[in-house]
Amino acid sequence: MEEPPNLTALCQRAAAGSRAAQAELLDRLQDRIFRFCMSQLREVESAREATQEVALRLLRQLGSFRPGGLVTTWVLGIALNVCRESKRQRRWSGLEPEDCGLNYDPSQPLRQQEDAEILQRMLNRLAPRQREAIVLRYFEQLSLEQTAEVMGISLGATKATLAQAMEKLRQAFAMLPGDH
Amino acid sequence: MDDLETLLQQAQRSYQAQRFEGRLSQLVLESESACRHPWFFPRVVMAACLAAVMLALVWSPSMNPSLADRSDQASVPQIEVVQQQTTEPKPFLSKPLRWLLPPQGRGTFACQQDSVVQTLLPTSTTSLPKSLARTVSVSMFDTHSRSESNPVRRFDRKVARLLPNSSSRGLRFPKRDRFPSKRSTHLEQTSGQLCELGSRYSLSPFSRFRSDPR
Repeated sequence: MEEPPNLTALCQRAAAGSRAAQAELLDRLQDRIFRFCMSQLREVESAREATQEVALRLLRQLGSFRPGGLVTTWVLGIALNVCRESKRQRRWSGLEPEDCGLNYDPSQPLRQQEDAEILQRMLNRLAPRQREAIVLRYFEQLSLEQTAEVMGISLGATKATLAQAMEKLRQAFAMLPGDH
Repeated sequence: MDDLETLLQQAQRSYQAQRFEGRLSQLVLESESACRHPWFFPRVVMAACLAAVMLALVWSPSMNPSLADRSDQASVPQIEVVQQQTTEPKPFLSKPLRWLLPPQGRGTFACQQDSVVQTLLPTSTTSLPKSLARTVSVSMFDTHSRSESNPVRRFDRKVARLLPNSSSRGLRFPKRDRFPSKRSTHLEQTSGQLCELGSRYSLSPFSRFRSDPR
């Protein structure tokens, strides 16, 4: 994954206390944070709340950002923690949603939307860690190392998790009826 | 590339198309700057104090007697007994029964006996010899512990020695056919009252009086 241009410099200016830089940083990252939260929480309102929580934590932790690292992986790491906490709270309160779809892009053909829905259902049946790995690797297009860094696990564990997830997806895909 | 990876690519496009509605910086930074405003914390503290005072006023028992009555009923179970002399039911036990239970100690227990008897059995003590009334009242508390170290059992055994037809292992009520004495009739009447009391308030120790008199 390529880091968007000037994001590191923007992050450093935001860490120095520039309000304009902080605002610009949040505006540039908001869609990315939101869709990752959406993929994990599968509910628009929860994802919006989680996005705001991520933004607040990001502002508080700006000082802890390492200049050598990538802003995107750092932010996705914060987002992953927020989503895990939110899912834990929902599990305790019994509000865990079952199969919720993605927000589909209406500009795409209907067939592609159907395919995306099918895949989303298959993803929902994966274990939480496997789903996180698939989203980070294939949807966020992180490298294996970056995926491991965001998830806070070793490279080997990341590869194993991804392989297990892909195997499960293949099995589910093979059982689909019709022309798939 | 297999079909699954094609599907993943298509889903990735749908994923990338999702957008956050509104401006995150506006939502987050404005609320944060509001919190940083010099008047924010004094206002919050004042609002919290005001809310606490209002709550205290609303929930104060002196301000709302009906609430006070209800809270008393909730915290202290009232046990009432119909006195023989008066027609009005009069509460005689203002504390929960467990507060009257003696602590597990030799000396302190003996000190509490009279207060237990007088508090719990204001009417029955008049018609019973004092030692017997004590035994009856103490037996009511002798709920489950059968060990010799139980002060209730010790006291029970001690008082039982004073009564006819009692053994050192505990109080034995005389059987009616063998010892039709005035005292046993008295005891039956009193224990009948106690049984009635017990059934009214579901106190399990009273059930002993139904099964024990032989």
